[in-house]
Amino acid sequence: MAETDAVSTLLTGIFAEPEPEPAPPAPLADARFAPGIDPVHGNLLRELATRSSWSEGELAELAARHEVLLEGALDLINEVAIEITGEPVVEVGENGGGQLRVNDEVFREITS
Amino acid sequence: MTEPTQSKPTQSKPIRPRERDAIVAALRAGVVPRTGQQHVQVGRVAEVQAVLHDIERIADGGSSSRFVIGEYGSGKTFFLHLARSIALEKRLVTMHADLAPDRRLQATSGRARALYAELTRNLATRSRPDGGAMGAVVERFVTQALGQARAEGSDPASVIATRLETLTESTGGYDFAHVVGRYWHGHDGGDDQLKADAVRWLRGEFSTRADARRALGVRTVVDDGNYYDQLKLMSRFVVLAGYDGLLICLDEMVSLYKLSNAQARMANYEQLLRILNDSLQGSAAHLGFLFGGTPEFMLDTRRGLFSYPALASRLAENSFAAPELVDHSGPVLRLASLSPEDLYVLLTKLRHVFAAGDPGRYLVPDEALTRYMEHCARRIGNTYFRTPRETIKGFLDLLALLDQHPELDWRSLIGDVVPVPAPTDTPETDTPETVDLDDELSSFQL
Repeated sequence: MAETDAVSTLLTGIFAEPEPEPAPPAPLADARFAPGIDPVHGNLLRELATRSSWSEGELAELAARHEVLLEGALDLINEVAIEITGEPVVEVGENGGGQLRVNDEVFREITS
Repeated sequence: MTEPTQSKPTQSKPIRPRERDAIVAALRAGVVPRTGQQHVQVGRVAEVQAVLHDIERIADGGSSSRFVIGEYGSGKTFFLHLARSIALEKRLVTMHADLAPDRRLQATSGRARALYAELTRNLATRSRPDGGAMGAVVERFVTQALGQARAEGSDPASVIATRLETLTESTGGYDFAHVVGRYWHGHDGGDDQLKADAVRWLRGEFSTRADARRALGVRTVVDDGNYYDQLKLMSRFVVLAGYDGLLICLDEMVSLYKLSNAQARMANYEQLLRILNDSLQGSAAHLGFLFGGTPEFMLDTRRGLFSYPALASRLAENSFAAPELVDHSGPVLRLASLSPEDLYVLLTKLRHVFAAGDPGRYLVPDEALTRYMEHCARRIGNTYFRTPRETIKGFLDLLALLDQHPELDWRSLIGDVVPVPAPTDTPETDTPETVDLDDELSSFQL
C-alpha cells in the first residue's frame, strides 16, 4: 500500500496539469495565448475557432494563409493544450480533413 | 451507492469522462488501456522511477536500453504502455511494436523492415497518442523552418537544408534529409502525391529502389540492413522538429527466443547487442529502447539472451544484489508478479476509476473487495492474483451491473460469478490494436 501511494504520488506529479502561470505582459495583441503557442499558431487557432466545420480545401487555404503546415501546427497547438488542460483543443475527426472541431472550453482555458 | 468504510486512493481529482470510459472499456475487454494507466498502476515505484530516469536521460541527449522482464501475466505490456505514456507526457515521440515471426530485429527477407514499418505506423506524439503521427512530425519540422525563414527573410528550402545538415553526416542521412526536403517541395507546389510519397518513404513503405528513385529521386529505401540507422536518424530528426527524443518499445521479445533456426536467432541477438552497445556508449543521441520479455527469453542459456556471451555479461545482475537489495540502475528491470495486497489496492483503484474519481459514487464498500478476492481464490485457486486480467475484468463486470441495476445487492452478485475453463498459456497476441493485458488463468462470466 505504501509503495502504491509512492507510485501514485510519483505518477500524479508526472501527469499533473500544472497551474497556469501568470501570463507575461503582452506587447503584441496576439500574445494572449498560453506560452508555447506563438502568435502565428495563436492566430490560426483563433480563426479555426470561429467556425464549427471546415472543408479540406478551406483548411488548406487557411493553413497557407498563416504560413504553417496544418498537421504540424495542430500537433503543436494540441500539445500545449494537453499540457495545460489534459485535453486537445482541436479535435480531429476519424476521417481527418474537414472534420475538425475546436473544444470551446479548452480554448477558453488556454487563452488568458 | 455505499457509504461505510472505504479506503480512498491518494488521487482524489476527478477523472475525465473520456479517460474513465477508455480505461474501463479496455480493461473489460482484457486489453491494456492506451491512456490513463497511472490511475490503475499498483506498486512498482522503483521501476517507474527507473524508467522516468531513462526518459529524462533521453530528453537530455543521452540514450538508454532497458529489458523489462516478467512472467506471463506479470504486467509487462501494461508497464510498457505506462512508460510510453510517461514519455509522451515528457514530450518525447514514441514508437512501439510487438516482435513476431514476421517482425524481427534482423532478417534478410523484409522481416526487419516490417518491424520498422510497424514502429513508424505506431509513431505517436502527445497530441496523437494513438499513432500515425509521422506526417505531423514532418510538418512540425517544416513549420518551424518556415517560421525561421520568415524571421530571417530567407528561402524556406535553404533553411530546411541547413537545419538537416547535421543528419547528412550520418549513415543514410543524406537521403533522409532529401526526402524531408521533398515533402516541403510537395507542400509548396501543391503536390499531395509527393508529400504522401515522402511520408511513405520515411515509414519504410517503399520496397524497391526504382520506385523510390522515380517518386523522390533517392537511391535508397529503408530495408532490413539499414532500418536501425533510420531509427537513429529519426531520433535526431524529432529533436529538430521540436520534441525531446524518441522512445521505442519492443514487446514480445520472446518471439526471438522461439526462432528455431539458431543462426537466425543469433543474428537477432547480435543486432540487439549493437543496440545495447550504442546505448551503453551513448552513441545514439536522444534515443531509448524498452524491451519486454519473459525470464526464459533472457535467462535460458541454450536459446535465450544468455546463450550469447556478450549479452549475458552485459545483462548479468549486479553481483552484490539480493532479493531485498535490487539494483534498478542495471539494464534489466524484473517485474515481480502482483501480491494479494497489490490486487486489493488495484480493486480500490478500479472502483475509483469506475466512479470517475468521485468517492461519493463508489458502488461497493471495502468489504466487497475482500469478498470478491476470497471468491476468486476459491474459484480459481490461490494464485489468482498473479495474473489479474480476468480478475479485473470480472470485477468491472460486477460494477457495470451494479451501476445499471441499483436495486441489486453486491453480495448476491459476487456469488453468481462463474469461472469458465482457462484459455491457454501462450504469449500475448500481437495484434496492433488490441494488446492482451496478459494471459493464463480462468475467465469469469457473470
